Order: sequence, then structure tokens, then C-alpha cells
Amino acid sequence: MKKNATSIIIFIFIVQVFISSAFLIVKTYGTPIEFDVGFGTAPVIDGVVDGATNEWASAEKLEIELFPDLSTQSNGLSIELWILQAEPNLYILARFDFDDHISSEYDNEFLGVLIADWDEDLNFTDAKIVQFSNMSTNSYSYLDYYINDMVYYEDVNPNGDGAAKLEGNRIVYEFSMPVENIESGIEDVELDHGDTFNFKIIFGKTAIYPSGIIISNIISIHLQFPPGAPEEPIGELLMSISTIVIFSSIGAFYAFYIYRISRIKKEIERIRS
Amino acid sequence: MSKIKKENLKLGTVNRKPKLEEKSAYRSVIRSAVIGGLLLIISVLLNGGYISLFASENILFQTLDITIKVLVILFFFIFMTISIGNYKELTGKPLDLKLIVIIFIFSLIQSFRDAIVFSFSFIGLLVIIVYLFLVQEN
Repeated sequence: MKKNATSIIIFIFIVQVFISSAFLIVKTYGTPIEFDVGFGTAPVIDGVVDGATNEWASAEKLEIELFPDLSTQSNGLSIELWILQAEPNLYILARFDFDDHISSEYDNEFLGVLIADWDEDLNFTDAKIVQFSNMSTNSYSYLDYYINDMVYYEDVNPNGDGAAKLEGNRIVYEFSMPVENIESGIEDVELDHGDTFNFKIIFGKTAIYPSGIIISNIISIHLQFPPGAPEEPIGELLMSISTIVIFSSIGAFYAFYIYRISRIKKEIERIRS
Repeated sequence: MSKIKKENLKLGTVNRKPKLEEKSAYRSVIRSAVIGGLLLIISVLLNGGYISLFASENILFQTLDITIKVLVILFFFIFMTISIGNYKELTGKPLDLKLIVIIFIFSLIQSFRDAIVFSFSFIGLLVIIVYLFLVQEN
């Protein structure tokens, strides 16, 4: 009997180790940079930051590095990343200086934004890419892909917009993508207010995906609600109510038990008599 | 020579022993219930999502956070089982399976907000119950 019970305990521990490792594997890619994105005035997606109109002035501004290997995070390329929301879109700008831009090696340069659904962690299934075909003539195209098993498929109904412009050694990439777009279908990740999404910024110099990606990094963006909108979504509201109900029930059980303890002496006397 | 007869002395000692045991069991009921109550308050704050121990996304802190939440639930179960078990003993009844299941549910449900805490608590509670079963068998 004792031998059986020991085997049961060992079996339960082994199951526990398996379950815990399944949860921990997801986190081994490093922690994404996380921040909140609020609202501002919609910028024009043309690859130019227009100082006269103050566009991007209200964006969340961040400086990140794109790495060849995310696990080691060395030899990074520093880029400025500006993000803002303006109904009905999310806007992302990436700007950086790069001496090699003049060389023909980077004629087919691209910068893209991969998106994972809020509950998919690092499973990126949507890609928005600005792909240069000729850097010297500033010829590029905006591409919208969906990703299945690391294979990039062009969207039947592309969403969003993208543009880029090289000035000197400095290049600006701009993207816009719809938020709360219920018609996005299965090809696009449906971005929602109040949720956090992981975005992977990718950069490469040959128009092959994903093998052409040479550097990347992951950021985690929480999309704030528009001003005046109810802050708490229905899911969180239900969770809050459930928390109150469950812990109140346990509290009531505990209070009842304390009441029974206070009566225990009388009960013992009653049993004895 | 003593005026109290030896027989009377012996009878007094025998009567005092169950009273002492009863008193100690009663103390155990109260102490365990108080500790259980404190653990419940900590659990409400941590597992109810009202307080976050670590703001960092660092895996070490996340693991520590999960461990503390799970341990609070497991200790709540242990202390409440001890308290209710002693309470039942004082009233002359055994701690039946129905009550253990109720404490088990009330302990496990505290982790409903977090799947990882839930799975670890579930396994931990099962281990404790198997252990209690073993002790009972012996």
C-alpha cells in the first residue's frame, strides 16, 4: 500500500514538472518591451514626418534595438519607434540611420510589423511589410500577409497602409492598421482596444520571408480605449464580479465556521449531557 | 501523613488528562482557524488580483509570484483541514470526505484567475490529500 502511494506521489510530481515546463517554454524568448498607446491626431502615411503639422507629436516614443538573435541580444541596430492611435487606426513609425543605405546591397530593403493575436503570445500570424524594389528611386510596395506555419501568404483583402522614404542616411517607415475592424477576417489579427498585442519589428535586405529577416525585436503594446469609452471591457467586468462572488462565498464559509467555533463549548456540553 | 487518600489523587489525575487534551485541541482549532483566516486574506489580495508582488516581467520574479500564490492556497488548505479536523474531534465526529472535498474546492477556487496557479494548486492539493490518506492508513 505504502509502495503504491509513493508511486502515485512520484507520478503526480512528474506530471507537475511537465505542466510547469509547458508554461515556462513560452517565456524563453525574453520579455517583450511593453507600453501603453493612447490617442492623438492621425498622421499622413507618406514616409515623411511633417514638422509643420505636428504629426506624430502625441505618439509614444521609444528607442529599441533590432537584434540578429533575440536570445543573445547583441550587435543591435538602434531604431526610433513611434506609436499612436487615432480612430480607427493604429499608427507605427520606425526611423533609423544606416550608412549602408546608399549601397545597392540594400536596394530590396524591407521593414515589417508582425502581429500576434492577444491570446497567442509569440505566435505571429499577421504581417505588414513595406518592401523596397529600388531604394535609389524610392520604389516600394506595401504588403499584407498572413502567416501559417512560417509560410507567408498574401492577403486576399489587404488592410492598412505603409510608406517609406530615405533622406540621406535616414529612413522613415510608416504603417497604419485598423483597430476594432470586425471585417478583418482570418487573414488579419483583429486589434482591439483594452487588449495587449505582441508586435515583432523585422528588418531585412532581400524580399524573402522569413529567411530574408536579418534583425528583429518584439514589443508588447496595450491599446488604450478611446477617450470617453468605457474603460473596463465586459470580460474584465465579469472576472471582477466572479472574484468578488467567489471570495465572498469563501469568506462567508469562514465566518460561519468561526461562529461554530464560538459555540463549540456549548455544543460539547450539549453532547455530554 | 497526607489527609488526601491516594485513590482520590489517582482519580483526579485521570480526569485532568482528557480535560487537558480537550483544551489543547480547542486551542489548536482556534490557532489553525486564525492562521487559515490570515492566509485567506493574503490569498484574496494576491489571487484576487488586488495586489501584485512583482511588477517585473522577469521569469524569476514571475516564478516566485506563482510559488507564493500556490503556497498560500496550500497552507490555507492545510490549516483549515487541521482546524476543522480538531473541531470535529471535539464534537466526537470524524472529519468525513464531504468536508475535505468542500475545503478542497474552497482552496482550489481561489486560483481561478490564473491557469498556472490553478494547475500547481490542484496538483499540490492532490499530493496533500494523498499524504493525509497515507497517514490515516498507517
